[in-house]
Amino acid sequence: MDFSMPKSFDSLRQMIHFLGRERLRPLGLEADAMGHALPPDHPFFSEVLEMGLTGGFAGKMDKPRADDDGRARKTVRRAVVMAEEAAYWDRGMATSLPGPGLGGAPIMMMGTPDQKERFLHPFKEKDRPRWAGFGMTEPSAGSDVARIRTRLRFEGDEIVVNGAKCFISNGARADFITVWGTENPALGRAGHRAVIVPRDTPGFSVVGVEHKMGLNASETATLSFEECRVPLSNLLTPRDQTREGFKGAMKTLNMTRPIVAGMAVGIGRAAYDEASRFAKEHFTGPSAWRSSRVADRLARIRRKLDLARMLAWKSAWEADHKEPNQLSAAIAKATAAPLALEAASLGIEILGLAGGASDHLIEKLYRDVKALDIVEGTGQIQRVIIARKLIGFSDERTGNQGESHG
Amino acid sequence: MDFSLTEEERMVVQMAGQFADGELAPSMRTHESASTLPQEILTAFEETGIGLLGAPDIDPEMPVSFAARVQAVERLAQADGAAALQLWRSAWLPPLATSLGIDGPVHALVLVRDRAIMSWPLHFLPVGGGDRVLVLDDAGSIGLAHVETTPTRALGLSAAGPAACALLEWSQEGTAEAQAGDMARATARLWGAAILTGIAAASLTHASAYVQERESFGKPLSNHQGIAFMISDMAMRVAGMRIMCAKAAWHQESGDTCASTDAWLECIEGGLFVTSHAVQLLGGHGYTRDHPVEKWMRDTRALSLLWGGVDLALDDAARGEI
Repeated sequence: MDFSMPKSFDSLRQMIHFLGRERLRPLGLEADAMGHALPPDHPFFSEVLEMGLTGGFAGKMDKPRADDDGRARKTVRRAVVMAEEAAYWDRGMATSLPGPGLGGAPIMMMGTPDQKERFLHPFKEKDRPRWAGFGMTEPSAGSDVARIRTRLRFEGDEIVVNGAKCFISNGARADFITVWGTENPALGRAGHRAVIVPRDTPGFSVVGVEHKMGLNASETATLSFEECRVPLSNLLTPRDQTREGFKGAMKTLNMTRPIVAGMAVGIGRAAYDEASRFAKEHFTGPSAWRSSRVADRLARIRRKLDLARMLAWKSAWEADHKEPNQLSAAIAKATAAPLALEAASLGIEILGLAGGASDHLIEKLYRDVKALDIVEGTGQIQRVIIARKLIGFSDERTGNQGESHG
Repeated sequence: MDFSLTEEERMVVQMAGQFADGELAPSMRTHESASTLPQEILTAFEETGIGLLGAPDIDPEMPVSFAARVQAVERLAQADGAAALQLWRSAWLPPLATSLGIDGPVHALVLVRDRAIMSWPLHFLPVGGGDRVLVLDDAGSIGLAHVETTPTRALGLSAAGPAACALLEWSQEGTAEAQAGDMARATARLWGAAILTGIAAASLTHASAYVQERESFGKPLSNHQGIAFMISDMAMRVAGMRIMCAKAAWHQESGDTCASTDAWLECIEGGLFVTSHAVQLLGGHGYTRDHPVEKWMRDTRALSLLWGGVDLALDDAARGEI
């Protein structure tokens, strides 16, 4: 066993640390004050492109997972560590970094060489920033992904997409959306397929961008697909492979959930640092009466964040070694998100009235962090996954085996 | 960043598992009623060699990592946490005492804030029939107390021989080196954390099996979401306890005691949550002695009182926060 951070992560982590302090946090606060994300043509996005950073830090997933000497690559572990560092400074900005991100992950995992060439290769170009979207959630199908209604109609060598998707990160600025739809809703999960829909496809439109409680630096879009025709070669999962589409989505999420857990830890650590700094500055002299109670709570939250970080690392390590990590990924995410909220909430409590004003970071962290118990599978969905693994939980009424996503 | 055990480490854990399942689990209630572990068990444990693993200095030929030892302790405690405590005391406490400069048999370790003002008698201390209690305080003041014991009925940990202890005399006194004192505190807490993890893991396993067998409202309990989510919450806690133990063990390998107090605190909090939930999931059955979960809930609360309990640990953990 080895619980240390690999030395090979240092340089990238330092780069994100610097970028975070100088740019992500100030820009995140700016976006928060404006109430919306920075526009896609904001010079910052070209800057990070020059630096070679990509959103979701998933850019290396398409490479083989074992080094020449047979050792597992550290792809997911690196992503978890970098996600924590980026989210420490601003999680909304981290999500808005250009790159394939979650939308590109299914192509990395399931795509053909041709699809990788057409859709992922452009991300290596530095002429302009690019984004991709992951389109699964629908207005009437959130956690219950078996109910997605977006229809895929096969006509000759084309697929016709009809439906709506919501809560899609970077959705309004994405070059393409990886859309999860069904050939026939009656087939349930067996009918699920993923198809890549470029943004210039006629019939694709951005219905709107959400106004959110937090994470304002991250664009969250509602998208509409009306008779969107894309070539059959944009289909990610072959038609004859039943359930592969659904499994593909689940595999993606098993890889990204530890990363979301890492992000939660990052926000929680930022909250801890704010609270700790405040306590050290203020709870002395006549205010020392608070210090022992506050110290206990700070120690507890530091411990909890450490715990959550280790669960995320462990799940990422399993993913890197191609071990089944569905259970550990669900445990890591379901554990980390509420603890990070607890850290932010405690931070506000320790700052007192000062924590309630919008000119202090802690107030924003409290609004930002809540999202992490919702995205990529709510805490409840994670519990369904855990219970299905451990006790074969199934809801007989719907036949839901808890393979739901988020 | 590596979460695997070596082949050798896995063998140690497996060996502990065989001993636990073969010798401890079947007689758990017998050992509880007898308020002791029979000598054969202690001897058999010695013969496995697992007991030697607590003392790297003593047996350099078996350089098994702390991580593996902690997992071995957890495995023993999955069968019977009270027995695991007793085994810990017989095998691992003596070298710990030696490292603090104390000679001769030692039957319990007590951590206090200040030895000069600690209160006697100690109403509940698992001493396994012994009468020599090692006391270590925050400042490193150390004393071996010769005590008069009165076996007592207790909340839990009966197999470890709980007794009320009245001070007769301090037979050895001195000052522990800071590093040795830290290490003793950390080791006790880490081993305690591992035992708590084992008890919690066993409780989760037992409750998981029960909710899949038992039916209510026309379906297995496990298919009621309210029940299923309790299992999920318990599993999340056990995963957290385990990873904190592993991390603390890894730190301690290099002499760094920083994470053991955190592991101890986490395992107390998690253990209390998991074991009481296990009783809850079994309902009335869980409340009876027909199932082990009631014992595990008692053992957990009792174990968390040892080595200064929560408050002394919190004091250590929160030092430096402000």
